[in-house]
Formats: sequence, C-alpha cells, structure tokens
Amino acid sequence: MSLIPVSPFVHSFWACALVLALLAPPAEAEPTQEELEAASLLASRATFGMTYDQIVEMAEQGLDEWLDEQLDMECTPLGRWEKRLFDMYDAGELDEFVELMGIELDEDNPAWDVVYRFGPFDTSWYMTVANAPDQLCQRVAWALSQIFAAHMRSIPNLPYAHTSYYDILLKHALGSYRDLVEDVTYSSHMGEILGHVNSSRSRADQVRIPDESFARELMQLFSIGLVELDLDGTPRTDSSGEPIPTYDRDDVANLARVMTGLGFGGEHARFDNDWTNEWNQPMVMFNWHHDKDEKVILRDTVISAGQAGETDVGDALDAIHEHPNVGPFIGRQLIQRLVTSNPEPEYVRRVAEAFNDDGQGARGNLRHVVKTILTDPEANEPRRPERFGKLREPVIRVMNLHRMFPMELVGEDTRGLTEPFYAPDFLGVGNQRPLDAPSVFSFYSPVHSPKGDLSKNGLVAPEFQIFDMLTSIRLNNILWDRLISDEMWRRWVQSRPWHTWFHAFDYEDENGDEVWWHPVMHHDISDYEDLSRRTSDLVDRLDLVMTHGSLNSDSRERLVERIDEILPSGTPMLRNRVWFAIWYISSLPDYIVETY
Amino acid sequence: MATNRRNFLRNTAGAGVVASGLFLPWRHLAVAAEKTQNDFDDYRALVFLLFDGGMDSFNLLVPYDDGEHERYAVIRTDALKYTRDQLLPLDDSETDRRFSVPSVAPELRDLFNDGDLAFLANVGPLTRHMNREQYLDESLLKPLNLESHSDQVAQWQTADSFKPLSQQTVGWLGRVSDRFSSTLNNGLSMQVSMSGFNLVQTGSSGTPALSPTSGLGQDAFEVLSTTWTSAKSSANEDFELGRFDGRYENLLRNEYLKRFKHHNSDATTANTDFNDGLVEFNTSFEPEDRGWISPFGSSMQRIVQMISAHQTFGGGAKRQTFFVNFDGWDHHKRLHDEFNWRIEDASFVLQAFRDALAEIDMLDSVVLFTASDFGRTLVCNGTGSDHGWGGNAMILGGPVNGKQVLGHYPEMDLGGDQVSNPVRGTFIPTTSLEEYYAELALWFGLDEEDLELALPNVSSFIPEGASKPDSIGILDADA
Repeated sequence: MSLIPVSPFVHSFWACALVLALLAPPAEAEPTQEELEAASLLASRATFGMTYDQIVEMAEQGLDEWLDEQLDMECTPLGRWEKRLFDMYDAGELDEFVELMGIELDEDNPAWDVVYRFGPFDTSWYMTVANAPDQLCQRVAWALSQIFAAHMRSIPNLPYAHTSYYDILLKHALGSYRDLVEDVTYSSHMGEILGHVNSSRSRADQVRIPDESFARELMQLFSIGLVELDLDGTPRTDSSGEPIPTYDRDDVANLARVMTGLGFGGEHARFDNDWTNEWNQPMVMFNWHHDKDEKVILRDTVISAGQAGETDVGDALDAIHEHPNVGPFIGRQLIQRLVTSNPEPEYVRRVAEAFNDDGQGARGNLRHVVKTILTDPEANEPRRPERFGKLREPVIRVMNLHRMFPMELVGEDTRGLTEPFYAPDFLGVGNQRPLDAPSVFSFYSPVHSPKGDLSKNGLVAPEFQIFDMLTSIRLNNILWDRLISDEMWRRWVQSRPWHTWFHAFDYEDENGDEVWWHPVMHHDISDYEDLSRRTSDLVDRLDLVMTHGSLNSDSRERLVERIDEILPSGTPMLRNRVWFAIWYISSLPDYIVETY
Repeated sequence: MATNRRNFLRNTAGAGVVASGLFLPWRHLAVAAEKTQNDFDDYRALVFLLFDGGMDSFNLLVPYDDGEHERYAVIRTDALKYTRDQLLPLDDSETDRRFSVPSVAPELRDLFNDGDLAFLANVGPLTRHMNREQYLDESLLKPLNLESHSDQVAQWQTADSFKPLSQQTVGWLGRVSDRFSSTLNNGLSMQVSMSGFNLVQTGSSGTPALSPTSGLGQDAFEVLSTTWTSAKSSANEDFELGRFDGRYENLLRNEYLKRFKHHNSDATTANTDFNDGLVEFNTSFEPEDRGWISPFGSSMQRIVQMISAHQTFGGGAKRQTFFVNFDGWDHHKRLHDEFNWRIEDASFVLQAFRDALAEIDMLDSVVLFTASDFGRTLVCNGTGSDHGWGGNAMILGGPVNGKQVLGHYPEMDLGGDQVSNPVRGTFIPTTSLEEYYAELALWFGLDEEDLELALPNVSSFIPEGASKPDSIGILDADA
C-alpha cells in the first residue's frame, strides 16, 4: 500500500507529495485543495456524483486505494431493489399508496400489479445508482448499457424482465469481456430484442431462414466494428487507401447459423415458444434446431461440422474475443463514456493493450481496462486540452444532482417511508433514459460530429446528438423547477396520485379538504446553508463538488454577482442562494463539458 | 508539461482553424447560395417521413391478383402473409396490376383512390442500375454495408452510398437548403425537425433544426423559464447575451455555449412567429374510438400547424422542410402484431394530415414522402423478417400524381432477375434514391444544374444527353 495519497492523479504534485510523505506522518494531515480537486475529478468520471464529505473521504483514503477498493467491490444488482419492492408490498408499506391510487388490484397477482405501477426498472435503477457504494461498477455498467444497447420497448412487463438484463452488465462490468459477451448472447432479453431466440437452421420442409440481426450487431456494435483497426483505433487501409471491412455478407450469414437453436429457458423451456414468464433465465440450446454444418466466420475461422450448439457458440465467441479490433473498438467507446470524446490515438492504444493483456496474461479483463482508462496520463493531463472532454450526459446531470445533494425525508408524516424512495419522472427528460434507447444503436453515434467548429476540426461529440433545441432548454428548466423551490413541487403533483403519495398534508380547510402539503422528501443542502452567508465560500464549495475546482474566473465572477442579487436574509433565502448557485453552475460550460 | 501545453495553444491559435482532410471532399459544397427564400413566389414544403428500423413494406403494398397473391403467400408463409380477406384492394383503373393494403389501413386505400397518394415500388440505395448478374459481379461497386441499419438509414438520408458512416455528415435536404441559404428572413432555420437531430436536414452551414414540443402559446417552443426571481432573469441574460463567449479555449465548451444560446433565442422567436400566424383547423388527429393522439399523430398535427403559420414563421417562409421519425419497424419477431398497430396508426394519421392540409387550403403546397432503412426479406425467420434492400415508399400530397404504383413492383418469384438473395428473398432496387429525390428536389425549386450538389451520384442515373434522371412520374406534370 502506497503511503502517497494521490500518486497517478496529480502528476504535478508528485514530487511535493513525495516530500510530504517522507516528512509528515501519513493519514493525519487534512487533504490539500489539490488533493480534493483530484478526488472530485476522479469522482466525475468514476461515479454518478459524490457529496463534499465523500470527496474528502476519497482524498483522505488516497485515490489509488479508493480506486482499487471500487474495482474490487461487489456490484449491486438492480434485481435486489426490485425484490425489495415486492417485500415492501408484502410488509404493507405500500398500502397507503394503493389506497391513494384508488385502484382495483389484479386479484391473481396483486403484488406485481402494485410493483408494476412503480416502474420497477426505473425505480430499481435510480435507487441503486443513487445509493450503491459500488459507484464505479454502476458507472461502467451504464456505459456498457450504451454499447450493448438492448432496450425495454418490446419486452413484456413482467417481474425482473428488465432488471435481469441490466444485471448481466453489472455482473461483468469489472470482470471478463468474454463472459459478458456470452451472457449477453444467451440473454432472453437480447434474444427477443435482436431476434435470435427461436432462430432455426434452414430446413427443407419449411420456408424459414436463420435470423441475422444478432450476428450482425454482435460484430458491428458489440465487438469489432465494420472496419479493421490498428491498435490505436485508426482504420487500416488497403493498397488503394480504402478501409478494410472486418467481415462480409457471408460472415454474417454464417455467424447467424452458429446462433441457431436457442429458445427460451426456464421451467417451460421449449423451442419456438413465443413467450416466457422467466426473463431472468438464459436461453438454452435446442440442438435439433441448430445448424450443425461447417461454418466459416470472420473471413477464415472454421467452426467445425457436427458440434453441439453450445460448442459452436463458444468457438465463435472465442474467435470474436481474439479479434484484434475488440481492444481499440470497445476501449475507445469506454474512454468516450468515461473521460473524453476524442481520445488521442496513443491513449486508445494504451487502453487496447490493457484489453489485450492485463499484465497477468489475461485478455479482456475489463477491471484492468477501466483502471487504465482512469489512470492514463492523457486523462489527467491531456496533450491537447482545447479538444479534450465531453458533454455531460443528461442522465448523469440528473443523477449528479441526486448524489451530490442526496434526498432526505422531511417532516413527521413520511407516508410510512423509512428512507427516501422514488424514481424521478424526469430521469429521461434529456432524451436519455436507462435501457430505453430508440434502438440497438443507442442514444447517439460514437462518430457523431456536430456541424460547425467541431466538425471542421475533425472532432466528434456524441452527446451533442441529443442536445437539441428542445431537450437542452427543457432539462435546464426542469432542474430549475425541481431545485429552486419546494413550492415548485406543486407543478409535478397536481392530479397525480403517484406524486400525491410523496406529499404529506398539513391541515384541512373549512370543507374538510386537505389543502396544504409538503413533500415527503427533498434534497439535503443543510451543509450549504451556513456557507451561503458568504458568497465566495459557497462558490468555492460548489466549485469543488461540481466542477472539481476548475471554474473559469469569468464565470465565477458572474456567478458571485448573480448570487448576491438574492439577499442572505433568513433560512429560506439562504437555501435559495444555494439552489440558485447549483442551478447556475449546472448550466455553465465548466460543468456541462467535463474536461480535466 | 505546462510549457509544452502553452506552446501548443499558441501554435494552434496562430494557425487558425485547421480543416481536417477528412472533410475536404464536401467543402466545395459550401459555396455561396444562389437563391434565397424571397426568390420564390409560392410556398412549398417537403415532409420527410422516416420509418426507422426497416419497414416490411412488401406487407404494406401487397399484390392482390389471384395468382400473384398466391405466390406472395407461399413465399411469406402463414407466419408473415396477409390473406386476401385481410387486404383492401386499391383502385386499379390506372395500374396494370392489382395491389392492396392491409385492412387495418383503410385510410391509405382512400388516400390512394382519391388520387392524393402514390406508391413507389422497390426503391433503395444504388450506385448504378444493376440486375442479378451485375450484382454478383464483384468488380462493380455496391452501396456500402448493405443490410446494416446505421449505414442504410444514413444513405437514405444522404443519398450517398459510397461513404462510410463516419463521413456521412450532410443530408440531401440539407444540401438543397444550402442552395437556398438555409435560413428564413429572421434567421430561423428553414428546417424543422419533430424528432431531434437527423442527418437528412443537416447542411453545411450547421444551423440546428428546430424541435417543437406539443404545446401551444408560449409553450409551443420551449424557452428558458423566467419564474420566481430576478436573479433567474439575469442568469438567462448571461446566456442569451453571450456573456461567456470567448472566455473558453475548449472547443466543446464553445460549441455548447453557442448552441444553448441559439436554442433559446430561436425558440423565443419561433414562439412569437408561430402564434402570430397559426390558423385553426377542425380535423382531428385523435381516432374517435381511442381518445388520445399517438406520438406520430401529434407530430403530424404540429407540422400542419407550422405550415399554417408559414406567412409569419421566420418572418415569412417560402420553402420549408419537415422531418419526422416514426420508429420501431425492425420486426424480427411477431411481425403481424407489431406491424399492424403501427400501420393502423400511420394510416389514420396520414389521412388526418391530408384532410387538415386541405382544410387550411395548403394541400397543393405540400409533398410528404417516406423512407426506411431497407425493405425486408420476403422469407420468414420464425415470426418476423430480416434486413433486405429495396422497399416500397409512399408519396402523399396535392401535387402528387396519385392512384399510381410507380417504379417496378417485383414479381413474387425468388428466381427473378432483380432478386439479390434468392434464399432470403431480397430485391435489388429498380429505382434509385437519386431518381426518387431528384423529382422532389426539382419541384422544391432546385435548378437542374444544381442536382449534383444535392445528390452527389446523380450523374450515374442521368441518361446520356439529358440533364436530369428520367421522370418517375411522382408529381403532376404541371405541379
């Protein structure tokens, strides 16, 4: 264990820290401002947001140790929260909700009827991401959900139908890429979305062909991409300067033949079952429906004739896993999701090398890939800062708010809740909702290049694809409405029993109607109330938490002026100053475009 | 390190903006526009309707003659076929074969029979016209990455089948608009998107398309809210007035600032223009038996509202394009169920669209046309179909030469000369996107000599000695 608190993250302080480590007793010293900023920067990439106290803890622990601890942490599955919804129903904790909803429950399955109304996936995703200690795993799984972008749209709403797919991503987010691809291949969810469930060998007695969708996207999106890449992600070219395709039409058809014979598993496993109630069960191979003839994939990999279906699938996934494209292709996209839209080729190369060999001889170790991405020198001191960074994703903006300033219960009447609990209905307001991309091509293209100065400079910025005239303004407005005033909750609750449940009524009017209420929970900013008496203290603190101390001096000056337009008289105004400052920073380029 | 970084910044600043070689090929397109909105006397709008995902359009337009329907039914099998009593025959007085549409789409039949709707059969991306023999000839170039969603849906929008996805940066409506200087009189874009970013409307100028919401009044276009406090108004001003412009060296930060500011100021202008010119109409986009408007319905309703306000929108619009994406057509499974409710929705809404335009007397100024990633395999893969190539499109509007099935609807014969894959049943398109779009672009006001600027490969489809592709006959000759 290193005694140096921040080794790879603050290179400029290497020497200084080394001296300090030699002179001063370790761990006792309070973290320096630089150490805090380095911790906050790492948090912006490796978590969905951290409170000030958590950032201090990270810095005290030392970022190497913090990162290693995160990398080794058990990942919290979403299914755990979905189960808790059922438990809450069983324990009677949702009775008041049911009463308020005024619904007649499905007699055969009342528990699911109630749980379903919570949006079990959204609630489980939000509650897990907002609270789980394994933030890095959650953040990487979120990145993977945009690469292995199955969606919920054509999957029936049944218990665990959606959380079970996301849990595959969580399970392997810091594990083996090969295992991840295998579980995705056999996932009932993916089988339904891309149609390889019940895909059958061609048969003389039926006009029927293997479905090619999964085979195609497995190569195009999940592993190797369309053209051959050098280790640094640059497309390779042939003698005439043209890119070299990684596969052709026959490769797709043959890989589709490899994938034949899979049907829904579980208790009623049977080929050609069009339906299953057990979405958390993987698909199983029905060898009679599997194409056992020889197949050639990826140009020259022979899948031998006569093998069992599982062996064929295993051989094919091995061959894909070994393809030299996977490291640069997947590595580059993970860098884009975690650090920067336009990674330097040498950065991609180092990450691809980490994919190819984790130092112990293992290939596809995502734990090592993620660690390399986050600790690479280019991530922390980029060679070309003017083109470095990425637009913060809408979902991350929403979750930042909920994790930097966590929800807490308020008042005495908490509707039977013992902890803050809900899924924000504006989670998807920025055209991005977990597991709800319009197609397997996800929310945006990794090569999207916004027209204008970025395209002229040959830069991509994928997140700009969903930053349009509507969503950019709407997200800003909704954050304002939600933040600025508890009063604004009114807009969200009127005529919606779902929201009414989250509000306690304070008194009755002369007609006996309940007329005033307060939210059952709100963002906890009590730590900031005192700070906000001095504008510069407030800005310093928020700058550290939200923009890792990188606020531009002009923006800061303007922000201070604006906050000072709200007089710090009394608790409500102090709180308003805090909310205003948070909202203002959340619209500044310093926050919206994360750099370093 | 720090010194190097400063040097680097100084160097790039001195060199100015360095254009990447990657983007040089289309830079010649950014020449000065030769027309503006005001050069036109009349108003015309093109509506690009994308059926994202690859619609199984051989179940949209189905052969109805006895023998031909039987061949269709045998190939598609029970899993995919419509029986004859699940189909509504179209008026065949002007077609040489009898065709039909699914019985859940009676409005499409009516639109066709009324002469406002035409089908264009077996259209798709091509590099040149080719038959099966030529298709199999490896030495001839094919559209890049056939059957890939992302590539094909891009090619349908760019009309350029030679470029990889990373170089597909400009759409064909964007290029047409570049010729008309792309903005309206007060700077609003002439492109309106109901579905956010899209390639087809992206031009070289980089003007973002609008994305209206479904509200009316001051909520028609979302602007920064100004509630509660003067501090908020001051904050809005900071962004609106560009107080942060030039304060950042980072290119992404500047792009964000620029867009955020434009989005808000454009929305503010658009709100005023839209509400000033809005013409009420009675046609309902909500089916009587349903009680709610589908997302597609509300998009199309909004387009009619926007068209009704064209005299004030942007300070007076003469040419506008609209984009709407109706997604979810990638039916690898349960084709019948998934296809039926969508086509039922599309059919109802398209009739409402026609009726509403007629009500405000704008039908003769509007042409709607459809696109989709690809047609699908005739052969079934279980309960759905797979990625194909050529497919059938619809064109709707007053200027449309309706009651026609244009192009060449293929024989239901997997051994045919236009079949690219006899095992799967996919068709080599007989009409190219260039031929399809050229006719629309010329109606929209593009000059013949500019066709190549909008449709880079159009020359491959212009007969020797001619100045444009042969007319398909989509539009009335006098339109």
